[in-house]
Amino acid sequence: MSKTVEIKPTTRHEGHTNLVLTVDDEGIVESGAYHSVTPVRGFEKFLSGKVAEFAPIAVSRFCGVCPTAHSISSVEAIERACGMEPTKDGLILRELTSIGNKLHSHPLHQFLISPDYVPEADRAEVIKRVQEMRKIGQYFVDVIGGEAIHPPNVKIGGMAKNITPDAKNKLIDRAKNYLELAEIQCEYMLGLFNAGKLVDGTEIPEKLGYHDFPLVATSLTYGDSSKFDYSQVVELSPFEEYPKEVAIKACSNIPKYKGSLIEVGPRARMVTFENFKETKGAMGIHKARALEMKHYANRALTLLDELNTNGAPYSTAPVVGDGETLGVGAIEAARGHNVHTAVIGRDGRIVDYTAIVATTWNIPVIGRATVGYHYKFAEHVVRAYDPCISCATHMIAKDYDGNTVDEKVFQ
Amino acid sequence: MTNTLGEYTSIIVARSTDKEILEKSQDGGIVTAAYIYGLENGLLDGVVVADTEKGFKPVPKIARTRAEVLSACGTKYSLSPNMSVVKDAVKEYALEKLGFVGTPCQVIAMKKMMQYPVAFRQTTGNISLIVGIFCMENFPYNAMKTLIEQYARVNINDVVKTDIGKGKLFVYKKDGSDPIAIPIKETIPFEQKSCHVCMDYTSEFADFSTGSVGSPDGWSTVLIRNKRGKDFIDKMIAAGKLETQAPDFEGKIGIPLLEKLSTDKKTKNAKEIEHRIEMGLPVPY
Repeated sequence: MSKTVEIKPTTRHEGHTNLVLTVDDEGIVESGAYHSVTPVRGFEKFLSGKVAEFAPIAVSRFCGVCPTAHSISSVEAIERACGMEPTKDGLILRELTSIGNKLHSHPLHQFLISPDYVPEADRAEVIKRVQEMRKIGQYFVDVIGGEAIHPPNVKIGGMAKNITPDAKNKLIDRAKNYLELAEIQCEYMLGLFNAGKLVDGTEIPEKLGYHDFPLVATSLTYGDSSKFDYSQVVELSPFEEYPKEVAIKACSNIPKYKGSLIEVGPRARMVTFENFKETKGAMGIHKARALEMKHYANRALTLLDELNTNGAPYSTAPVVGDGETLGVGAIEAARGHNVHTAVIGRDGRIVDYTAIVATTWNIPVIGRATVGYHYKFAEHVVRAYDPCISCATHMIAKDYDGNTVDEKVFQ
Repeated sequence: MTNTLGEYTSIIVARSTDKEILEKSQDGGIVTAAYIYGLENGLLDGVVVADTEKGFKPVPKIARTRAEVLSACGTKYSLSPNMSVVKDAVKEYALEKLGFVGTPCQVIAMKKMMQYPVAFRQTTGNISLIVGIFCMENFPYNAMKTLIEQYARVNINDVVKTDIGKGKLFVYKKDGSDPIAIPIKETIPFEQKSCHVCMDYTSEFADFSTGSVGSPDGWSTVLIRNKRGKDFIDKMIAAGKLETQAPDFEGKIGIPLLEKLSTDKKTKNAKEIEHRIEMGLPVPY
């Protein structure tokens, strides 16, 4: 006889979600449904008709953890819809801002999972290091983006401001400092993940979190819209994925790429671009994330070296579309492949806007990945994906009695 | 000590010991000397200055070297929106120890910003010194231009310096000829209207405030208001960057004059505030 186990809310991640599991008599998960219950805000709807310049400012407010990824996806999408070319230095500054956000977000996740894996005796030291690293990451976004949270300098056509040579030197110093900290942190965390034990001594099953869905990433550090075929994307209603009683509460869509659910995020990037070996399992994601931190710091140093502080930060081409061209902005956010699309009219206003964010891709995969092991491990699968829910929320139309009016239209 | 000059811990009369600073600056060159001392000794890593661009128009800039500070020194009697570059200084200039100079209203704005850092996240902790200047009133740029061009008959591009003292506004030309004087009472209609509801003459919220009133020619009065201001001035004196003399608490042009002017401003503007309230107009206090 299968029983239902509900974990609600799931904890130590951003946003509000529930995990509904059916388990057998032994407690082994037979099916898992992970779904968002973060209320809908309606960004995609209220953006239509607004001037294009408003979009990056608005979508940044999806979430305070990775506002940078959203505003950058947004400007990338709008630039493509308008046929604009951002300036070279603008792009460098933008990638640096994007990296800054990830430099802070990855250690933040290690802070969130520290009660699971880091022994009590080491915890204070690890968290102190995590905070040092996050400070550096946020400093990047603060100096280049103009604010550490919701950076206002991310602009259609590039970035609103270039930095001074002094600021550049300071950033180089900090990136080097980050690299040193990341080496220590990465080595320490990898040790824990390789041991595969929780702090209470429970061993993590080797094949925990295995699934057969493909991994998708467009770049290791920034994003490459040309590698992503948006025509292959379909968005399904939660009713297609979850049991009815779960789907009725779910606040996110089920996107599929080339007919399949996909996993996005650090592991997808590391497997695609760095030949990372652990293509399956929850612990592999933790390891990939730890390794990525060093890649980001190194990439930041390369970019800072290339940056011309006297270069034009943004293109002055007009922000005008043709009302038809769909611009796709695919950016690798900390949690993975983040896609915004925009159609801009001849008057420079938004005709259509959509966002399929990183965690939206992962949400259905997370539920599936809990299958096959005891339900006590399910939360560790969830946390491995570092889900950040608020941005993943989408809408479903209902009437006043709670009856679903339309299950297919989500924008 | 609370009085018409605001809270202060001590009061000194001082001037810079640097000849170049004295030559270029307004009176005792206190702000310029403090900035240069701070930059050269690691107390500050950048400062906000009011420079002038073409047409003697004040523009706020960020200076990081002695030369940049010197090129901006001297009082401008039309507004330079110094607060507008504070965020830039901390962001794309990545400054961590910023020095700021402003008129009383700008110092109030700075202090408010530090209390409620809305849209100034991670900025307030990077302000290392706030210098206030004495200010009776200010002129909008176009008003100043009209005064200089129409009244003093000097092309605005030929102006090198303006100065107010002894009841007159002096306009100095680049050719070094005698300054042209405009009686202050003639300039009153050109004053900025918002200055008439200002209740602060001596930048009461700065770390230290300075101005020529209350000191002999070529010297400046310095009101030290808090520990940060005191430490800074003490270090400058110890390093021989400032020479001081005892303030004159008795004489007509000494501290009593400063107190008189401050009281005058407060009394006059309190009346104006009352008048504006009667008229149903908005006032800041």
